[in-house]
Amino acid sequence: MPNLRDIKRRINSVESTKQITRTMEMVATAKIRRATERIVEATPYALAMVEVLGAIASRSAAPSSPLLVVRDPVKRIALIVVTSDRGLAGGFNSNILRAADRFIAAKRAEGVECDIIACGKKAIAYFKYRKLPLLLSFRDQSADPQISQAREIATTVIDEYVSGKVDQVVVFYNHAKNVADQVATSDVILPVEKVEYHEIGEEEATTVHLDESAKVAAAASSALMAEAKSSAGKVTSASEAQGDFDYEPSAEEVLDALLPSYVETRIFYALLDSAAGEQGARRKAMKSATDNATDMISTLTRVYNRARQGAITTEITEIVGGAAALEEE
Amino acid sequence: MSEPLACEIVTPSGRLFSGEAEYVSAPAAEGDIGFLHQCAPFMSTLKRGAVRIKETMAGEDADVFAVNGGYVEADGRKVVVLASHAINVAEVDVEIAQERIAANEQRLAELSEDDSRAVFIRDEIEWQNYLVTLVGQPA
Repeated sequence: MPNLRDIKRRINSVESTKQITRTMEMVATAKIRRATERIVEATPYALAMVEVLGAIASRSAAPSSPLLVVRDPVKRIALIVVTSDRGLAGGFNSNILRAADRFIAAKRAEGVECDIIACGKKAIAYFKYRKLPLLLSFRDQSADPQISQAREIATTVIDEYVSGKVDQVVVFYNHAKNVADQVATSDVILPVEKVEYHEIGEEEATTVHLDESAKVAAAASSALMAEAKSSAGKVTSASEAQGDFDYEPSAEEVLDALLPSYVETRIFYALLDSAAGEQGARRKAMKSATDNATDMISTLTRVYNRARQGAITTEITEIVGGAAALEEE
Repeated sequence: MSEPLACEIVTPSGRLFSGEAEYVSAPAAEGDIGFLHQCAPFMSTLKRGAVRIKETMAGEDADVFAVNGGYVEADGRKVVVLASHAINVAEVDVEIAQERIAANEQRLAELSEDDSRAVFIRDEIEWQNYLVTLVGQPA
């Protein structure tokens, strides 16, 4: 028979854990809203950039910028792995790290080396433990990604790419499909593919559905996207219509300046997406932890009551037995 | 008043300005350029500088935004300014800017000579310095 006091102590301990997990759940819920807003805020910029890029790219016939050149064979890949700084978010980080690890192992088998850029403490710790060298690492920024961080990553990978040290750049991050679901995603960000121009818009339109309050913004942004698409389409079908743009200094130079910004924007988006996903994952993990704690408390309370009742019954039996024995004498 | 020009200033952290104006000027790569309704389609990179928006041609600048590089696209009806960093000059706080300069100079001093991050920090310092001088000027 378990000791009454031990059970009571366990109930208390589960109770206080439950308080913590419930608070974390509520905090994460509040943060999802903020993270989603940031994605919505960043959307017009990304869409405008896609629009401008689409307009120029369809005009200039041959890909002149080195960022557009696809290299074959690929000998070295730079990997940007985006995780969170904090744990307690369920499988959020391990999913990404496992996917990245599998990718590295597969590429190694083909004789392709990988350089790693780690964003978030969890990624840093993971790769350090495995003694894989890090090209760059960022900590304490996962919850609130800044464009400057994206710029630093973009500049580094573009340098590496242009100098020929790496032949491809891939980003691994959690795409926040909706509040509850995060999908481990990998995107090739260099070389920039022409088809990709539209993708960012579509991707964000789905992300925006994260929140009820964001629906208006989603409608607005999809309208914008349609506009961006139709104008891009117009250019391809009738390049004369918009072909008379004056470029300063020149179309090629504008494109050359725009592509790094585009890469930067995509990285920034991945960071924002991951930040929203982190909060979603944490809320889900903390919700199930709270639910589990509730279950555990009710089970333990039952055990406690049964033990207490058992003790009382035993006492009564003893007293009754004792009294009966006295009477018999 | 002639026909208005739609103008938008967008940054990664949000849409800063969206409205109509009669005249917009921007610091293009080869010098400042002004846009009016029905201007020729134009696209350029931007230098660090000020985007000025006038509601009426004769009037004062209605809004002045400082941009730290970026792009401008105009098609005669609409002017879109894309900037990685931009701020309404009226909202610049000189004290905060100076604090940032000091903080960044300290960071710069702590870095080694060939650290790749130094470039960004220097850029940030120059940008904040620019904001301070812009606010210092009479409008």
